[in-house]
Amino acid sequence: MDILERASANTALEAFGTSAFPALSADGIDSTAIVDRWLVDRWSNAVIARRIDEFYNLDEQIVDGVDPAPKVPPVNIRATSTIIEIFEGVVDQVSGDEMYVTLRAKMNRAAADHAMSIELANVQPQDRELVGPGAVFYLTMYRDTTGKTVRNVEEVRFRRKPDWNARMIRKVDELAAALNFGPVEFNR
Amino acid sequence: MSYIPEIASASVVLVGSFAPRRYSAHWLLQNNLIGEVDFEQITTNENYVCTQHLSQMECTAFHLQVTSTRIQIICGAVLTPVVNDLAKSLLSLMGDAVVDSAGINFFSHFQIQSEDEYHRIGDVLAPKPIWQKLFPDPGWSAGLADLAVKISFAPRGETDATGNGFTVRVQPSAKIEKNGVMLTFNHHVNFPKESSQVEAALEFFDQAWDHGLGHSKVVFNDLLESTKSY
Repeated sequence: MDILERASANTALEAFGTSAFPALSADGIDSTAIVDRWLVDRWSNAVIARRIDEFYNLDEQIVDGVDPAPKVPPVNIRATSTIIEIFEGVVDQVSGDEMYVTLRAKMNRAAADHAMSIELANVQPQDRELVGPGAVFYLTMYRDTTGKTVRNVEEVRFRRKPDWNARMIRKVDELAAALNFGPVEFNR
Repeated sequence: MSYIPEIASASVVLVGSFAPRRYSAHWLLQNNLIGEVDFEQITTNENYVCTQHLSQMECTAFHLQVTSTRIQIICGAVLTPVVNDLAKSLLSLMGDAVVDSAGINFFSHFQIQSEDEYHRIGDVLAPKPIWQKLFPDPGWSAGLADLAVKISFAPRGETDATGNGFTVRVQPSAKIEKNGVMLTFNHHVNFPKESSQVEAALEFFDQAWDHGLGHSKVVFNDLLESTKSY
């Protein structure tokens, strides 16, 4: 931890007090000791920020004096894979341990849609509750090269939010109006 | 012959006015933009930062960085439309935020089969005689390090007031050790202030991702193919 980081750590303590860091303040040690422990543990500003974030869970509140120097690190390409194809799939039916889906290729767009079944075991646990008729997902088939190991992999990931926008809703409203149905109620 | 990239990735960028502090992992989870596995990966990563000036997080699927003027989402290990979905989801929660411009980038790294072919690509796109004349020392050489070509949506000599366009970039690959070429395809659009910028950005991401995915593949392949005929 350099001087700037230490200054930020001290500022954080001043702003929040030791109670913001229950794991560290449980022993009743003073703030200087806490900062020293940060030094020993070589904690970064990222850790300080995360601790504050976890403890307060503040979404909107702007916290002055806690920020590290606003030096934005560059974001590098992290990919290690060759894409074979990306499909957008729609769940038609769920039965037992499988879902029956229709896939549309996003890269080779001339390819015809095709139906298949996918075992639910291939769906990430965090996406299981999203699985149901009409749910949209992406199936990415790729060859991963990590180090000297090459393997073919399929990844399923579900879309978490509806994919409609204001223009689409306006079009549906217009269509409904034309059919004398009145405005259509969406969960917007 | 079709050129198949060894590595492919993509990113989406929003330029405007944002409050990085808002974009915490908790906020993304509460708004169902990420799942619990993503949340766990983000919050246990030591690079996770969420402060007034910078929010930065990564999970298997993506890396998200938010500053007061820019949001960038880049694919994780795999090129996936999830980054485009995330950009749209963020936009749908922005209300009337200021979003001045947006961009989608596709990156591909190609392994070129021979050193001759590798040099020919650079020599065709950036002919060397003029550089050899400027730097004639026989012990020196000139090589293409970075070439960007902007495609404007207006005839030559005319100014496109929108500033929208494509940019194709050619560089040696930093990911492929020998004879590797990286090609980048960028689609940039500006959103006029008089209209709803968020709505315009949503429209852009709705249409440009799928188009760019296919278009960039064709451009990359045809660009490399075309250097063979010179």
